[in-house]
Amino acid sequence: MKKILVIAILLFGLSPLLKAQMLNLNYQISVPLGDIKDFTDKGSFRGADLEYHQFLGDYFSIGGAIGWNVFYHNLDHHTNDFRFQGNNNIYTITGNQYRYINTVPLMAIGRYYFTDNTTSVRPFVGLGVGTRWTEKRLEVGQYSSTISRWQFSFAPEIGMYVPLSDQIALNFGARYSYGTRAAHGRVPEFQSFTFNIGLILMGAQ
Amino acid sequence: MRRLLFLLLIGLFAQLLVSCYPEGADNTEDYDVAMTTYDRDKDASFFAGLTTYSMPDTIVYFVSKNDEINGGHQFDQAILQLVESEFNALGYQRIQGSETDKPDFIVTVSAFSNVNYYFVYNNWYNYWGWYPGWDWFGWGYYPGWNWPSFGPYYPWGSIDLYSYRSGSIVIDMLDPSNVTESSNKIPVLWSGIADGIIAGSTDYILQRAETQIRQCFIQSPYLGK
Repeated sequence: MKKILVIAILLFGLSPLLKAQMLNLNYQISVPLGDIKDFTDKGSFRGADLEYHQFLGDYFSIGGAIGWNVFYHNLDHHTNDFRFQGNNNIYTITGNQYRYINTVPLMAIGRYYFTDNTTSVRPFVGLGVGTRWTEKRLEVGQYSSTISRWQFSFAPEIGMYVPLSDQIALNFGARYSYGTRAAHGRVPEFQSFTFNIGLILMGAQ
Repeated sequence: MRRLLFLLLIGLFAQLLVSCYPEGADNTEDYDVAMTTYDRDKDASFFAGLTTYSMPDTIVYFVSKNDEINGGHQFDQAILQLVESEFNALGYQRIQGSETDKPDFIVTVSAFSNVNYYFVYNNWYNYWGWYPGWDWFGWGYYPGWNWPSFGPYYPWGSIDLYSYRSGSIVIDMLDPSNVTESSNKIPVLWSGIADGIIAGSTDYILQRAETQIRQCFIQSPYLGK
């Protein structure tokens, strides 16, 4: 988290040089889809991201986002086949399984706003492109398996922000995230649908 | 001020995320598993073709000589009885076995045990007292950021050492008709392993072991006549 602090401080340190910018902290709820749903079939209430957006004119902005989402699912008395490292036998193991997906998206985001900054609500559409680090972990008994990879990722989004004053606004949005499969499918194709709710601090207009 | 507020918000967020990270297993029995594997060249019709088996009256312990668990054979009878009743329930018949009356397969039961040590670093956020009482505002946030004065509050030295004993009961089905003379190897047809952490009363341990042994047979539907 220290890193995020440093980034935040840097961004604000630069603020006098820039105009019309937003710093945005979101709480995120995510619904897993596809392969991620197969592995952890449970909604994630553990997520957040930090975004920075710089306006280019009245209708466009570019920016970046870094986030963290945790998916967790425990299955009591569940049976699956496993292979141990250095052993070709297939073992059928029954026990309590604890499954985790951690994902850290790092994306550049471009947005188009449907209104200029005089309206009380500013709806937008956007597209994020970048990468995400995804870790898949499974624990059963005293055994565990962890694998992590960087995935190419993109994330279209819709949302709106509601200015409360010149300096503060609320953000509401929804984002579909996709990450390419990695390590021959051992890190699955990433898909989730994420709801954002957050606070925006506006820079000098 | 606004910036500080925002930083505080980020800090709170971080704390929230870290403190509600899912924990996984809670109790000893959450670590119990039943593991089975078998010779994948064989199928249910092969196992249905078997009839008789023999089984030694003791459990072989694979533990180091000085281990306190040696001589603790109090579970042997109960476990051997359970294994016998499970094989009988599958339609197999236990025989004494001799040169003239060879069993179709041999069942051995062995026990493995190990003491595992692990370290636990007390996470800094448990000690640091990030919130409340962070006291960042009073510090003259910029300049004079003052990292070094964190020192006394940063108890890196705090490490707890834990140990636990893991144990496995391994049931092997061996094929005595296919012993390779040269390597002295007996092919294993099927293995069932009850694996867990040895903690709690003897009744509790035995009950958990029996549950996992039963599960080994439940998850092997290809066995039996």
